[in-house]
Amino acid sequence: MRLHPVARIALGLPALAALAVLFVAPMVNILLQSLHVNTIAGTSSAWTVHNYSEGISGFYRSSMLRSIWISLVVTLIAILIGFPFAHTYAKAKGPGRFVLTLILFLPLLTTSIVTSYGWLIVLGRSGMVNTALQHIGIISKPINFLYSPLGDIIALEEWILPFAILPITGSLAGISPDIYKAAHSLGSGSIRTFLSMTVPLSRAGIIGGAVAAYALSMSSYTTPRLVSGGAVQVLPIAIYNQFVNVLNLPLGSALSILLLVVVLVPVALLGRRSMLAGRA
Amino acid sequence: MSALTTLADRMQPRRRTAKQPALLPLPRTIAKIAYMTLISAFLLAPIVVVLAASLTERAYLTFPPHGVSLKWYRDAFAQQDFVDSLKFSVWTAAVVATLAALIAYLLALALGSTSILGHRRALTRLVTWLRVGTLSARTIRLTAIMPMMLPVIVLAVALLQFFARIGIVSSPLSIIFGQLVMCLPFAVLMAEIGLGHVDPSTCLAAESLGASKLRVLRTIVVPASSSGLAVAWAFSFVVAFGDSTVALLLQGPGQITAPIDIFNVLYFNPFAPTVAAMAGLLAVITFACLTVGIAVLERGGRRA
Repeated sequence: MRLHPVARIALGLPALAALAVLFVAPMVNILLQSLHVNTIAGTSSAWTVHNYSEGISGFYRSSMLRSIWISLVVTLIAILIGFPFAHTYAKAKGPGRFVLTLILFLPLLTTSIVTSYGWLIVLGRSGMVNTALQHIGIISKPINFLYSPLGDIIALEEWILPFAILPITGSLAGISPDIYKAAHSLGSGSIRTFLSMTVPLSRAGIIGGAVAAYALSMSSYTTPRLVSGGAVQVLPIAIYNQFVNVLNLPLGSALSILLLVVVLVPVALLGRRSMLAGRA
Repeated sequence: MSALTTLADRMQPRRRTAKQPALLPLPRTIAKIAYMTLISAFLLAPIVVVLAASLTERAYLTFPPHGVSLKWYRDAFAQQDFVDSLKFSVWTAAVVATLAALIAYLLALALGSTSILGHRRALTRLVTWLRVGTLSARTIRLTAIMPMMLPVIVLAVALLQFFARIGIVSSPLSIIFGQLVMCLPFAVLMAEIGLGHVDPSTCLAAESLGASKLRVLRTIVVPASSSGLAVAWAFSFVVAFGDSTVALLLQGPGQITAPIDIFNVLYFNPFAPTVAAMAGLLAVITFACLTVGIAVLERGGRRA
């Protein structure tokens, strides 16, 4: 059955209207706002890229670089520890699969305020990890997980990991088992099969997972805010402060656009095919 | 011939090494189970800790908890601010989920109708126009899924600015609209999975037997894809319910969601067991919605 074109348009219209008003218009709005500067009399009407030159220098550049390295570390760890998990998850069946799906989706969808709060309890100076390590005698003084990038990385990892595992699982599940049989019958050992077959064939999932992990850790606000209490100035915290505390809206808009560019360029270059390629 | 024998000779030891792991399935399985348990423990750690800590009998957080009691949950429900925020969260998330699921389902139907519902025999006048239509379908889909990749903080500040400009910033509508954009990508993906369960040949058969398009939609497409619609609703609800960034920036008097209420309380008194009980309650609600959603999704997938 082919729907009448008018019917197709009518079906798509609510979504298009919602996206135009609630997504495109606000984004254009902050793009325009970022091209003005704040003066004592209010926002000037002259066009300028001043906010962008401020946004890529000094304090904001270091926030940006800190966001990038934290996100890259989170992404790398997510791929490395996520791959073996995805490998087993892709083959799981029945109740085992159901339980693993639940375990993957629960941290992904539970509000980051609850999970960050959990990490505060686990990683605090007198939290579980420090108490346990001191008890065993591995450390004499508690480790400062919180208010440091280390805590951010651990807490982000827990939330991000499922986003890396799911695309990898998707591409691993798509590999025909015959390929492994063929490799085995031709005498290829399991390590060699893994490196020369499994990894290249699941490349799309690995790239998709990495892109999602990077994009989400770059843009996370509440997790770093709660876990490092603002002591680790990442770009989303700088943006929030411009809009809520400093009220330099044009600069905040410029920083938002910069974050958008730094997130979306790798997404566009690497992830478009693997993440957004649809079935429709 | 000699080449073949050397090849066979060379294959011999290799084949043995390749077979060897089959003799040791047990250590491998144990290592696999241990690894999966370790990662699962890491993924669940903060949620389990919050739940466990909220059950303590003491007036401060302890882990492992001392005794088991639900008194901090009773205390959480005695906090009027929290109860109000929870009610606000539930009704706004339900509205968001309903809007997102419907809009996304209709969009998925529009985008997928050619591929799901098969062949095209367009009027010649409309052919060129239709081709433009199919080309832009990909763009439309990309735009609908874009907000998922977009930094949420950027979306939130952009919405804050925009809603302030059009004057709805101090209304629940701002949070509903904001979370709607966040949920749409998930809803579209889930609706597409649901529509993937529709069998095109059944539609074709019905049509060739003279069923009208509306009837095909009503009796075949919608029933076969209804699990996708339900899952789109459940996921949108959970995403909206769990959102913290949009709700944080668009909060206002009388429009504070439960996560933001916890966020605000955390600021002053992070280690009160009542806070753990509030957080634990949110985790339980998320868990319940998720279990139902995944069960429906798996069952829908099996039936198809």
